[in-house]
Amino acid sequence: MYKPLILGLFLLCLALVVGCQTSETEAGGMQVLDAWARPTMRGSDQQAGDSAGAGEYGPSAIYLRLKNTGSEPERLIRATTDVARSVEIHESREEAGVMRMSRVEGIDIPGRGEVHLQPGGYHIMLEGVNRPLAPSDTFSITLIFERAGSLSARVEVREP
Amino acid sequence: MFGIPRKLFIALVALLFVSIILFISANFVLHQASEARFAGTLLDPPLAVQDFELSGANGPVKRSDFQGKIVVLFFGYTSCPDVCPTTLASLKKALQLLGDEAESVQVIMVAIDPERDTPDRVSQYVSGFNPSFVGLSGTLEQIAEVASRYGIYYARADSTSDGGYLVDHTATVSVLDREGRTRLLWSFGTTPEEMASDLRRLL
Repeated sequence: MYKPLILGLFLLCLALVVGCQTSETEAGGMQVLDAWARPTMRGSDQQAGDSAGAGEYGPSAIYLRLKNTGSEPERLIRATTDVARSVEIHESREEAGVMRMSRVEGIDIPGRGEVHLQPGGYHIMLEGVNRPLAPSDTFSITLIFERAGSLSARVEVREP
Repeated sequence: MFGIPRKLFIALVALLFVSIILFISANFVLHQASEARFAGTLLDPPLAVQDFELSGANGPVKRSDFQGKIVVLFFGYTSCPDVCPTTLASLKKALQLLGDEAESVQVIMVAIDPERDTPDRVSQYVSGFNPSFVGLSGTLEQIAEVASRYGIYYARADSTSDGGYLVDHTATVSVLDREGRTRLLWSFGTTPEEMASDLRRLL
C-alpha cells in the first residue's frame, strides 16, 4: 500500500537531483550558478579598422554567480570557451556618470562567500564570437580557479 | 479613574486617535508623492539644445525629423559588451511595457566609436533590439560636436587581447520632449519599469 508513496518520493528525489545538476556546477567547493550570456547583435562583418575577422559576430558577455562553499578564499583567474576567440574577465565601474571598463587579473571569492557577475559590474567578455548566439542557445564555458582548478558550466543565451 | 480627571482622559484618547489618523494620512500622502516623482533627473525648465544632423543607414537624419515624438537619446558603441547592451535591452523592455504608446517614442543611439561603427553597422546593431530603434554615426568631428552638446564624455580606453579596444563613456540617457528639448536624464541602472513610468508621464 506504500508503493505509490515510495515511488512518488523516489521520483521527487530524482527530480531534485536532476534539477540541481542542470542549474549549477560544482568543484572543490566552488559552485557556478545561473550562467547566462547576451545574444550577439551584429551580423558577421569585417570592416576597415575593425578587429573582428570575417565570419565573426559582435561581442557578448557572460554573467553568473560564483559561490564558494568552502572556508578558504578562492580566485577566478581565467575562462575559456570555444564560441569565442578571446575571453577576458572585465569589470565595468561608474565614475561620475562615466562607465569605465577594464580587464581584471582575477576575481576573489571569499570563503563561504558569493560574487555576482552582473550587468554594470564584473563580466566575462567574449570577443570574436564565431557563431551567432540567439536566445535559448546554450554553450559551455570552463572557469579556471586558483585552488579548485577548472570547472565547466552550461551558459544559456538570453536577454537580461 | 486612576486619579486622572475624566475630561483629561477623554482628551488624551481623542488626541491619540487624531495622531493615528494624521500618521496614516501623512504616510499615504508621502507615498503618493514618491510615486509621482520621476525616476530620472528632471530638467526644469527643459534644456534647449541646437539641432544636429548625422548619418543613418538611409542617409542624413536630423533630430528635428522626430519633432512631435519623445526622443530617447543614448551614446554608445557596438563593440560594447556590457553597458550599451544593458541600456538598449532596458529601453526595449520599457517600450514593450508602454504598448501602443511606444509609437510616440523614438530611441536613437549615436555611435561614439565612428571609426568602427558605420551608420549601417549601428543601425543593424540597434535594430537587433527593436526594429524601430535608429542608429546614427558620422565623422569624428560631427560626433564630438553632438556629444559635447549633450554633455557626453567618451575616450578610447583599454586595448583587448583581441586587438580591439574599449571606450569609456557617459552612460547617461537623455530624454527629449516633443520640441526636442532635454527634459529628463536617466543614469545607468534605471530599470525598464522606471523608464516606462517616466515616459508615460511625459507622453
